[in-house]
Amino acid sequence: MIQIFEGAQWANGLPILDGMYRDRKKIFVDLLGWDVPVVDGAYEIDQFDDEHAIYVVATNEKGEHEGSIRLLPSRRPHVLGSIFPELCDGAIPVGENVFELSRACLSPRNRAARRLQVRNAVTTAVVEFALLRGIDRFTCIADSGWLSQILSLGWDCRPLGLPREIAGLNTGALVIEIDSDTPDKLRTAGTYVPMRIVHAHADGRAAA
Amino acid sequence: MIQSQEFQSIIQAFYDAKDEQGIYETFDHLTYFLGFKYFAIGHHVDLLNPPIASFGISNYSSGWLNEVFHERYFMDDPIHFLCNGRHAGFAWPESHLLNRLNERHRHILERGALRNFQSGYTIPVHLPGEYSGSCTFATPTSGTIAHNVLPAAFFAASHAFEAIRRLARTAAGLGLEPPPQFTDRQREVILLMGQGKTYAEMGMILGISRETAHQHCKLVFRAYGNIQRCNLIARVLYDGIASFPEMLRKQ
Repeated sequence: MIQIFEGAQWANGLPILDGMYRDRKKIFVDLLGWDVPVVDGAYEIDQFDDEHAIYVVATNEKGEHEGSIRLLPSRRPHVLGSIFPELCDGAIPVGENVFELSRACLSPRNRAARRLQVRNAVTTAVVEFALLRGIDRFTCIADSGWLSQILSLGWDCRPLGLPREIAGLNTGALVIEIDSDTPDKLRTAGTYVPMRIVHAHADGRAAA
Repeated sequence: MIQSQEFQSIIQAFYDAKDEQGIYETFDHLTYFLGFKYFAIGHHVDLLNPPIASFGISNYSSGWLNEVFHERYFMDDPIHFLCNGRHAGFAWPESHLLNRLNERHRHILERGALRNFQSGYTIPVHLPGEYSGSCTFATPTSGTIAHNVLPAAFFAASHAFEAIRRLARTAAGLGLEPPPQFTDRQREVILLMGQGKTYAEMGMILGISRETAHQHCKLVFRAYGNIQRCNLIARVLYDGIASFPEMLRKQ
């Protein structure tokens, strides 16, 4: 199941988001060695995980985190604008309908085949959510470990500037254009997953 | 210093290309733009018998391509070998990489150097459930690679690979079939088949009858279109449904 959460919360009775922050810590800190803050020794939570962040989260039948991604409004501080502006050679795309994708994370407990399904489900949900909300562009920062996979999802993805070597990895900024044709592009690429998206309220109860 | 606008317009040209000729011309432009002379991009497959939706494009001389085909170098390509298990691009020849090569690999690399492939930069492409591939840029002189262009080379090559991949998939009429989904019990019998167990042994291990174990296996074979047992093992490993450590561990 895919759930959308608006606003960050932790250690506050939302086990799904807590599980997401824990998996983010396992992937980005323990596995990839990123220099990002860790809260209470277990949760990877940074300055952008605030009340404006939106999370698209996949869970299994036990309600455990299987994969997720973070959407940040471009009009507020976000990773490209605040930390890596040099990756964008023109003006940084900013606007009501522009969001940034970051912290794409797949549970390390799943096997490769399941991780691929979750990756596709989260991507489909991001596209459907964008169409629902009138979001027409995503920006994101990609490094050499993920770039091919991001491109192979089938959506329209272009560079925002010259990539650079950051922390030993080729890293660049991308813009992803979303319109009513995007779901068909995912279908052609074999990455579209039909689904029901559940909007989770701030108090944690899911409602259709 | 390379220009960002030209970089971005080259990438757009890859996605706008309608056929192999358009891709080839854009690649020629990109290769020159990055300061290289030669390029090759494609899947790491048997070039004499390429599978559906695989591709390979290069501006290598016909003399070198003839030698590659005639001597079957592509089966032991040293650069493809170095792509295994890595996502990051790599410049060659570098001594710590060369140490991993065997005699046949070194021979091919030396033959390439004689044909003017003195140094280069290679970008591996690994997509889950697909053949591995790569893109190589090379120069006829050693030690002339400008390292500040390598991030742009990496990104441009990745975009180019995706653009060609989309053309090839469309040409092949391919909607990639997702692998079948299995229950926990079906995965258990898959692993036991990989360990060479008979139905009776599976039954003993799982605490079920031989017949029930056989039934679970039959459902697995059917999910893959009545696949043969040996072929099943290859498919589940390829599709990521089971891993080598799971198959090879001792009971």
